[in-house]
Amino acid sequence: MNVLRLHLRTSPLRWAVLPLAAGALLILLIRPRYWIGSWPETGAAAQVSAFFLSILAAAAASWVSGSVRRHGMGEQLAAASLRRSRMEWRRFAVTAALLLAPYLAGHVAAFVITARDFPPGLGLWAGYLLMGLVVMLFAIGWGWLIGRYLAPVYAALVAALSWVVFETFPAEAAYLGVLDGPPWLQPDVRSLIVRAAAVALLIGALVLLPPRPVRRGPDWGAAVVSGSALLVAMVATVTTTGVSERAVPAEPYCVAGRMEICLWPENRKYTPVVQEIDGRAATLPPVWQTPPRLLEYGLKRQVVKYRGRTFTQLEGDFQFSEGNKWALALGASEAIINESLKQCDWDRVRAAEDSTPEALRKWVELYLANSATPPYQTIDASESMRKAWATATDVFTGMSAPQQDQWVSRQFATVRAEYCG
Amino acid sequence: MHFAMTDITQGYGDNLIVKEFDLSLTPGIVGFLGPNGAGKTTLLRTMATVMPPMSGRISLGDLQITGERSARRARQMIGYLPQDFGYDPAMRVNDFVRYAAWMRGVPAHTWDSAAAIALDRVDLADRQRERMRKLSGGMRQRAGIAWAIVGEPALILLDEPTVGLDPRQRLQFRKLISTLTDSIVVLSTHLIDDIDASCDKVIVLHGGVAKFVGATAELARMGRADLPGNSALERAYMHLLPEEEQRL
Repeated sequence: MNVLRLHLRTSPLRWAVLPLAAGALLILLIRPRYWIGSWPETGAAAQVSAFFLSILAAAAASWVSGSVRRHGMGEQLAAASLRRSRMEWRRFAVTAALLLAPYLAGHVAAFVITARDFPPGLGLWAGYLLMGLVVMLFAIGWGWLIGRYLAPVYAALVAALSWVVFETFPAEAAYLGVLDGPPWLQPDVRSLIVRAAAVALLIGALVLLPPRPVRRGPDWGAAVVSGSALLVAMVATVTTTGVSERAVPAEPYCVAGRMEICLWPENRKYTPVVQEIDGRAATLPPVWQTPPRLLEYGLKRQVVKYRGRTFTQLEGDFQFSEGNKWALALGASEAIINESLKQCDWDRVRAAEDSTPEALRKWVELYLANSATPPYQTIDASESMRKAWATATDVFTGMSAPQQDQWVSRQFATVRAEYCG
Repeated sequence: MHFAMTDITQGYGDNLIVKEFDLSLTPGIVGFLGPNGAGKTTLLRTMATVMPPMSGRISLGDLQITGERSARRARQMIGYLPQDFGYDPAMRVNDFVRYAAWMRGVPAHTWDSAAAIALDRVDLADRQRERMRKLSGGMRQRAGIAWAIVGEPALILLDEPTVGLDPRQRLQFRKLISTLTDSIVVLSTHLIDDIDASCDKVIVLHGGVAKFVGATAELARMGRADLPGNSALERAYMHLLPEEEQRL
């Protein structure tokens, strides 16, 4: 313990802990606040900093790794009575602790903020914590290995750049890290265990077989073992996927009202938004029929066949992206128009390129959200769609409530007469 | 404590530096003297067990050093200061010496006292909180000596320890090593003055072969008046060199 403290006192990285922790907190706090109150989103949000911190960690670890050579202490280490692995282990442990501290600080801060409500799903937070931890340790091992064989500045550059390339290209598709943590996804425990084991193997190879300090030329034995362990860790990362779909919960969290709107239990913090939209749905003109139940994305599954293979596809009536009421208003408006016009022949609507139903749907969306300015833009909509949306917006903003009711009734009657006979 | 090397051959690849060398040491101060390339550093590295010999036997006390495991045990009893020793510039002097104690396997509960004693001996007690990078060359050299003597090892190997020391510090150094009476102190140096002032025994090396092994006073008696040198010991040293190197 004394030696660990001694290393902590003398490591140049100790000066980097506070700025890096500040960076991790900045990354956490400048992003939209939707993660607060949801454990999977909290874990994912705090885990994002691992992407940036791991780059610096790879560079810093390479710098520290080469310090024995840089400080000319190889001869003294060779004359030590301790095993080389014992000395290397302490150097690595202190370096890893200092580099992990900023990442963990971000997680602690995120935990404290969300823990005030203590929603369900703490295990998902822990999964994302582990996901980032594996990334950080992998980067530290990556840098440590490079630092052994290259000159300090060059090693730091090579470690950082090569790590960026790895985590951006081959590893991104395998979800080395994530940008958000929607409740229908979960950190894949099996993959994380495989990755953690591979990274542990790399670290084990690095600390148990350090190169001989005064050997002339490279220590090929140590280089081959460590290089092979690195390769194993890379393969383990790119051949596993960091996240997987969750099973539908036995009891989704449902809010009863005009409609029963069901969410993932982790999203229960959105209850006020759900109640607000449902309250607006309850005041829709009587021509509208609301579906009995709306399910959040992922709470429905559909088995589909494609080219002879069977897949289970996630579905839902709305995707409560970041808890935005517009996401619910959009999904609910589609469900309401489908329910209200369920007798209609939609193939004929499409063949006629009639945008009246879309104008009605848009009006419902604006009505439910009680706003005419959605926070999103659709960039590839057809001209007729745009006209329909503009019409709905004009009606919603320019007409009185009775006038809007009359417009809705007229459009409804037209559509019913044309396509629902 | 007794240190012995028997029939040691050492070198780098095909380049043999030390050939069939025998050495037997008991507590006292021994000087290795010789020109550049004589094999002094190679011999010290071999004694420090940093470089396993190509052939021959080494023992320290009852311990036969036959491989890495026995070498590690022996290193608990060996304090070694390489010629160009390294240090972490950010380390405090006290930590630098404590680090040496840890590496040598000195029990953790005695690190503080052992470091304090070593620093006191090299007159750096008042600098123990300084960072290594802030020390002058002479002070740094003394910190290096503290590195080698911390925990009072049985065998202390000092490669050119007085390089960078001013005359007063060299006198201090001589005083310091004269107090290490329980250890075998091996001093490799170019400076005949240091040998003259400090060493009970001297070994003159040339081309990896011991040209003289014996008491310092005995070596001094070998000097011939017609050879170059300002002291009897210098003339004796010149006498031991090959004839073509005896004239300036």
